[in-house]
Amino acid sequence: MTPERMQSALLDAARVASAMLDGEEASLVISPRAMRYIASPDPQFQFLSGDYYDVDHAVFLRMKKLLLRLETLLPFECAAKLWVPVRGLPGHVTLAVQNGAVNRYWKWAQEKLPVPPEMETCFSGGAPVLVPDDGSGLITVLAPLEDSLGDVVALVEITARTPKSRKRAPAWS
Amino acid sequence: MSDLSGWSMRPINEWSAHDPFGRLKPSDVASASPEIAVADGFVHLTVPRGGYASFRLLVSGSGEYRLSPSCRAPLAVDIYRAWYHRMAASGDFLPDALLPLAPGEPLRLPSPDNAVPGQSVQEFWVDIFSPVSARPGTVSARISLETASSRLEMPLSVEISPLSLPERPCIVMDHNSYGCRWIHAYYPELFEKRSGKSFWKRTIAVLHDYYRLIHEHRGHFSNLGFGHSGSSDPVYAPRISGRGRGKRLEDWELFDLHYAPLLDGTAFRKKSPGMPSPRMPAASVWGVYTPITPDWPASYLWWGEKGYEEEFMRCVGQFDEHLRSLGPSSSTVWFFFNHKKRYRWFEWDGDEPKYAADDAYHLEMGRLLRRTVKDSPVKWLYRMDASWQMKNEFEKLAGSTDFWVCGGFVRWYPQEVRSVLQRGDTVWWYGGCPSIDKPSSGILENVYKTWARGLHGFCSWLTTSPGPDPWFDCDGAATGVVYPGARFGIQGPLPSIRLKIQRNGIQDVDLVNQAAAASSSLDDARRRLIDSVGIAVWESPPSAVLRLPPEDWDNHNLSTDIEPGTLPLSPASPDWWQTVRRAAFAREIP
Repeated sequence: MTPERMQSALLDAARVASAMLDGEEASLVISPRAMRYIASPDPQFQFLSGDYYDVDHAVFLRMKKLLLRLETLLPFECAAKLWVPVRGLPGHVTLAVQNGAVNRYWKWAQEKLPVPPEMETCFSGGAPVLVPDDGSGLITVLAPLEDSLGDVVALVEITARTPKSRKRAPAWS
Repeated sequence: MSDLSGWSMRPINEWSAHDPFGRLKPSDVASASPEIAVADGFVHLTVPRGGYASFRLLVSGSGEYRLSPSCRAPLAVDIYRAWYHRMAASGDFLPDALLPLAPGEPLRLPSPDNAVPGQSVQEFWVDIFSPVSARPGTVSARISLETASSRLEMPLSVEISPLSLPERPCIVMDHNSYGCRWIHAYYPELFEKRSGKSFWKRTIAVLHDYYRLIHEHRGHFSNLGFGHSGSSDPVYAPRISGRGRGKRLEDWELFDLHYAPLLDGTAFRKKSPGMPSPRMPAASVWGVYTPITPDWPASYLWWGEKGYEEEFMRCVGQFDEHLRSLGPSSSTVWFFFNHKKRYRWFEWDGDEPKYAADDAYHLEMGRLLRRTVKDSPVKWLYRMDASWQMKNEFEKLAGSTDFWVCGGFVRWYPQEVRSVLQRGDTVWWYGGCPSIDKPSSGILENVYKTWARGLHGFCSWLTTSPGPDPWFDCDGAATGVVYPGARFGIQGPLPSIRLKIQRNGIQDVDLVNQAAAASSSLDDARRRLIDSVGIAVWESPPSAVLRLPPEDWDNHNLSTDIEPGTLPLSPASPDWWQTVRRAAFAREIP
């Protein structure tokens, strides 16, 4: 499949994601205590916020299954993930749910990252954003998720390797 | 032993390291007597049958030289040159990796490859092996040092003990590792121009060398194949086809190449590159991980639905059937989850659950496993690496989890552990290895505590990763007691001084255990050894443990570190193991 056709398929999947996933529910995946530690990690013990990481089981599972189903819409291997803003730390996002071992943004064990420009565009524009292969061998689409007030409060990332990419994720991911 | 041209040899006990200038390693300075006393002109050593006696040999001088051992059959002598690692933090040069010395190999001081400015001393590790079949008695041997102008000899008097080591160690000292991608980085030459099955077959061959090296050191190597996402490389799992009622496992070629020789023990009939021929009996590995995860072979898309149970039972059943087809094996086969929710793939912790609510997932997985393999002769164990919730899980998961690998908190629960042991479960604990700069005998603390607590084993969570540049910019190599040999032309793992010390410690514990078991006094022997050694093995928990649920524990309210390997070593003398050594050969504990 050509990169152009992959991009088109990814954009279609992004529109489905925006329609099917509830942004309000997405923002309930991570427990309030876990979110507090993501925003303000303990300066002395680097693993403490990970120790306090917890999720709402039912919401997480519902989101994960929807993301897995989204992947089945695409005729190539891809990884669908859910990103949410870090409450209490503007300008940062954290991964809430992930599948697969293909990552454009998430680095191993990373708890949060400054909002990448394309995510910023997606949050503010309210429309899917395509991130073409920039030499990384990856094609990504970002889909905005709205809450009941119409605000974009979460994003779905769907990332696939280009046919030429032979990059492999670390074995432990 | 020295000559007029400035060369000398000194025999040093195994727990005292020296730097390339002849100074004791700072953390070993408290050693009361590093030098082995020479009596009647001989260095006296005692070797158990089926095992090793060891010492360090310090060679001082300048210029070219050769070292060669000689001894009468049935003893064998192996000499290794210690590599001096430049420690990134202190700038010290400390010995650990061991390079096997070829017969007659020319050497030089300073050693050109190690490149220590002003090096005047080279440390060697000497292993003397006695086969089980050796007749007890005294055998002489010697180490010769030859230079252009002189020859020095160190006579050895080796007493072959009437005591024989058991074929299988009484405790499993496990060396854990993750995946196989590191192998491709360590041995690039081996994988050049290889792809597809040829690439993976070579990967398996190197993995087997790691199993062999650890096995020869009375240890156990474990290699976890899957990642937190639930996927694994092709050497660990057969391929899946279909879904639901049509789902099946197929193409076992790589799996069989990998696991069949481990399960029947034939992998241990070969030697690993650069190492002596096998001396430990070729036996089935104690246990292996399986590739089963929440998302393999059953798809997590169906978790909580009938399709999950269908896929799980169908495919895990095929997996079990395939293991049976490989023939009987004493190896245990582990049903184990390593994923952590903090990495966002699953909503529950497979490894070290902190939240009690996650136990429901383990109970359901246990139900599925037991239902699938209930009449199987395969020795399935549900392994749980327990930490925060271990006290509660011992009760809650009883009958489901039957292989516990406990975090450092295990030290707070002597009664609870005893109950779990009494009901027949397997209990290990886990932690890390001391880094090179720690006291040399520090690595024995885990051996001692495992046996003294009456546990079955200890898992060092990672021992194949000695850091980005262990040779010249060493981070302490706390996660690597085996080193890649490629830079020395050895396409396989190298042992270390820490691994050798651990092996000898396991031998000692085997002898103590054997004698105590023979007189039905294991508990008493443990108590007496703890009294003699003086290192406590159980502790009272901090008050937070009694006041708060595990969900609310953290580094602050526990006032202890939580990560494996970060607990401080006990402040014992570097020679503390002498107490255990004496007990091993005296067959009694003072």
